[in-house]
Amino acid sequence: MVNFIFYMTLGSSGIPLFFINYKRFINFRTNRFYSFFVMLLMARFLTDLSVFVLEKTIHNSLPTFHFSGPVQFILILELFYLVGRFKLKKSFFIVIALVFSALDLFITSNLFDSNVLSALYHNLAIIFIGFRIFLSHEGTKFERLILESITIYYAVLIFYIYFFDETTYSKELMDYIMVFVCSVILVLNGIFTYSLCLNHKN
Amino acid sequence: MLEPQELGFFIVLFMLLTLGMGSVMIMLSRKNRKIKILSDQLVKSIEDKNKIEKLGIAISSKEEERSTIARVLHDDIGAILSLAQKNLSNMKENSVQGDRNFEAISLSKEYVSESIESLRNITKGLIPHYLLKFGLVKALEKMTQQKTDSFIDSFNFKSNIPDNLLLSDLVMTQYFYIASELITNLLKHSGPTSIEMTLTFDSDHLTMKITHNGIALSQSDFELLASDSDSIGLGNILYRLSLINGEIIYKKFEKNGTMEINAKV
Repeated sequence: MVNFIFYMTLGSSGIPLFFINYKRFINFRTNRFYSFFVMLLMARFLTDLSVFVLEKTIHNSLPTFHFSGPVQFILILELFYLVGRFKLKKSFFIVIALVFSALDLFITSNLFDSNVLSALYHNLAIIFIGFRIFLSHEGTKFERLILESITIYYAVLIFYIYFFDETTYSKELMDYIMVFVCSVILVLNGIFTYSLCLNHKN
Repeated sequence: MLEPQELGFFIVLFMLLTLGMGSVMIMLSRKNRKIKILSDQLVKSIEDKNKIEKLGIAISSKEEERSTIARVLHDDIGAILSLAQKNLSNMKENSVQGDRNFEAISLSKEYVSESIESLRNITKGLIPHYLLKFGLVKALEKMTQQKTDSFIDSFNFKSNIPDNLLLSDLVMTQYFYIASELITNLLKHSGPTSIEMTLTFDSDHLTMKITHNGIALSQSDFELLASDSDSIGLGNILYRLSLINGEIIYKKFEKNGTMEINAKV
């Protein structure tokens, strides 16, 4: 049952892709936010696809997150910086993210183990930047819907990441939490699909 | 040490709490945003209303001025010219019969002279006649002295404008009226005991500086007053400055204040 929910959640990241306006996506100069958002959706879909493939082949999908984590983080940063104005430079966050990724790959962990350190950093940074957006009045309805959803999603998942190792090595705990985490991911994909429809309508 | 199920329960509980808090924050931020949009709209509508009111006052005062001019033209000049016309018609009829009435001719001349005089009086009220006749320096000196004579202890006027400098009517008129408005405002609101006015011309720039020892305004004070208050006078100053691409700079010092008007002429 949990496996079914897990694979269904992975598949759900492909749903928003059906609602993309590819003409707008290609027109990068005039629709920067939309284009980066579509890139993020694609990165999420590719991540889930590779998780599925690796789970089926080597029964370990953790290598995917070492690479998809920083990529998604950079794309999300781009989205935030397109809407809001922040004192700290984007490159500051990116450099730290790359340092943590390297640490996770070579020192604190390895390719086949979890990247908790960098994932925690990604979540904390996104929560920090995201809540600044909450306080500001910048962005359109479409932009704010996406950024608010991403912030809440990363805020909710921070506890799951913090206890990731305990969760991974205990099947009982994994089954317990996975249902909730999958529900959150499903809701996020639902919001992304809705925002694309909303934007398409506008 | 927590059992896996307990740990799971706490993790999910924390997640739910975060989700709840996040949702509340989103709702509050959206509400806050709506309030900001509404307050911006309200401020804009008030500003628009003020602008319309100011425009209305300006238009009605202009209408009033026009009706006054029309009334004076009709009652004074119109009446006299009608008499002159009637007199001339009588003379024409009499001259056909061979009569030459010198008294009627001199009366007509008187009527025409009178109407010219009335016309002069009206134009004097409309434009600063003295300004066009004697130039900006003399007109400013006369106007400011007349205004300040009984209100302050000392008034000084200095100018380095060369006699052969020809200023356009537009520049002269705007400088004259701006100075007049500034002096009136000074006497009304600042209570100075001494005013010094200098008019200088340097590399195509005409600068008029008024230094006084009354209550002074800084540039930001002036901008705030000009944007907030319903004062037509301040609005007129800015309008007149825009006509000559000029600027006004207010400075506030410990013991005095200055107002400097500068424009390229």
